[in-house]
Amino acid sequence: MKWINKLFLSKKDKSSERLKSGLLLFENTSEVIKAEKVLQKEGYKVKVVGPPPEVRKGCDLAIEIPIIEITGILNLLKTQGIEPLDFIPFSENEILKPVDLFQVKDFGDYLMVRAANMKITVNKKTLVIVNISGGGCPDVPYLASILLGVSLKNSFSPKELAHTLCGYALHLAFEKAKELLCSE
Amino acid sequence: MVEVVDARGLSCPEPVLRTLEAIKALEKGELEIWVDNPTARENVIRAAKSLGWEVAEIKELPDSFKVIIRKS
Amino acid sequence: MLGIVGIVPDEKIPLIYGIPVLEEKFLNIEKWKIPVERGTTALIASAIKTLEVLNKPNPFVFLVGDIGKGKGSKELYKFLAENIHKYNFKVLTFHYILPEVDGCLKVILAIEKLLRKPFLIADAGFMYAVKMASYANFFDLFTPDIGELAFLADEKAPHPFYTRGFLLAEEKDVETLIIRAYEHKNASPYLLVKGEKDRIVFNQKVLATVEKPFVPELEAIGGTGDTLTGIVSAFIYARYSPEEACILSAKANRLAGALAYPNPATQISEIINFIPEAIKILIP
Repeated sequence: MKWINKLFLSKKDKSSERLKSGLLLFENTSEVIKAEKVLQKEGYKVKVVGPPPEVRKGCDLAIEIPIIEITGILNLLKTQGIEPLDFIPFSENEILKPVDLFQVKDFGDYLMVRAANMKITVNKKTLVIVNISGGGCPDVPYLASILLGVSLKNSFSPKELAHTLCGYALHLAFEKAKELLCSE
Repeated sequence: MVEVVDARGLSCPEPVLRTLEAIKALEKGELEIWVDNPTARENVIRAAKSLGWEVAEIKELPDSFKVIIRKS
Repeated sequence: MLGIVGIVPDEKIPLIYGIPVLEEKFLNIEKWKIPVERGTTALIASAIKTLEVLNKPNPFVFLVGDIGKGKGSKELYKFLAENIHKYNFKVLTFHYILPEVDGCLKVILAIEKLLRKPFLIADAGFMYAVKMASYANFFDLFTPDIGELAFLADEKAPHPFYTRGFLLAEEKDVETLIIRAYEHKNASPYLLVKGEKDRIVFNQKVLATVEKPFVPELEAIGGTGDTLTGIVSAFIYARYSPEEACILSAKANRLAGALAYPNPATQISEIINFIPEAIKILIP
């Protein structure tokens, strides 16, 4: 990991308020999903985002981490055999902004929540999932058949049944829809 | 006042698409559609019926057809 | 014959094959009654509805239960590799399956040995496998959405999970992705790129774009991409030229959607019912 030298900043940089968080980039999305699981289990507050289009390296998902925790995070990932491709430090003042994985479309009685390439549509009144679209991965028809008719209030989550990237994106959409419609 | 869709001069499937748009906007009531060939006339009738509208009148004029559809 | 290959999301269903009958919202094949839902069953049902209007017989299908773990898919690859020579398909459409290079290559090698090569169409998992196996040129038509096109365009990606844009590709990137996919020989000669606008492409050139009618609710409805692939499979089997088949299919798919007067909760089986009407409007 040659990029790790970026972390050894000059005294002048270290004193700057600008560097609060950054992005870990990975070669493939399976690694991102695994890394997220590992880090969240240990209590790290991390978020899966899309890397800025200006950043060409790595796959479609990245993990936003608090820079202050970088050493602990890298060590933990190493024990699990996960090695990030690169690290991009940034702050709110930077031009480089991660891509939001989520989009929401309000159809009046229905809300469609998109996470990456997967879309879940929910009846706003009953909170029941009425449609799932997107994705060509082989677990999508199965996940769709399980989720249709399920209420967001149900504690069930598609995460445990998903085998693929599309399945993971569906889990993200489900959690987002829950956050938007079920928060009290 | 009756809503009018003038689809004369438009090629397939534009007359049907314009009719569908008008049906969606109106939801119910009466719609008058003008087309300039028998195929478009048949297509518009077919599309309207498939959406539960009844054909109240079909009139043949020198260069065109007028179709009136209705839904109460 | 038109052949269709894919999986159904029910592990109870073994490998089955034959000519299905569409009854209301179910496909009857062998002793199984399978609901028409997003996925390969929607593709099959939309092909059947199209073939009815064109006065052609129902397709012959190969299906197996697989919830994404791959057990059924393995069986299906093996069966096809060993038995495809027994059939005489004019058109073969491959759909959902766990993408696996080895299994896919065995099927392709079996097809290469046929006296007459069918018109080959691929979508979803099988399309990923064909690209991973570097055999895109062997196929005649791919029907990717924009994310899948990004995977085809990424010459370095061995799998969609490594692709930049599989999840996050946008409509504005399409023309660039098309060029790259062909440059690295990872696209079939014909492409039908599904999106807010459907694009019909031949050897890097965009022949036509279909964007009407635009029905916003269709974005929420699962299966509208599957029906497009089903309709185009039927038109090509009925001897329409690939270009004409793609254009008509894109129009018919959208028109069926518009005729169904959908809301975001509308199921794909309801839209499939309007396919015959849509086709009769387009080809009176």
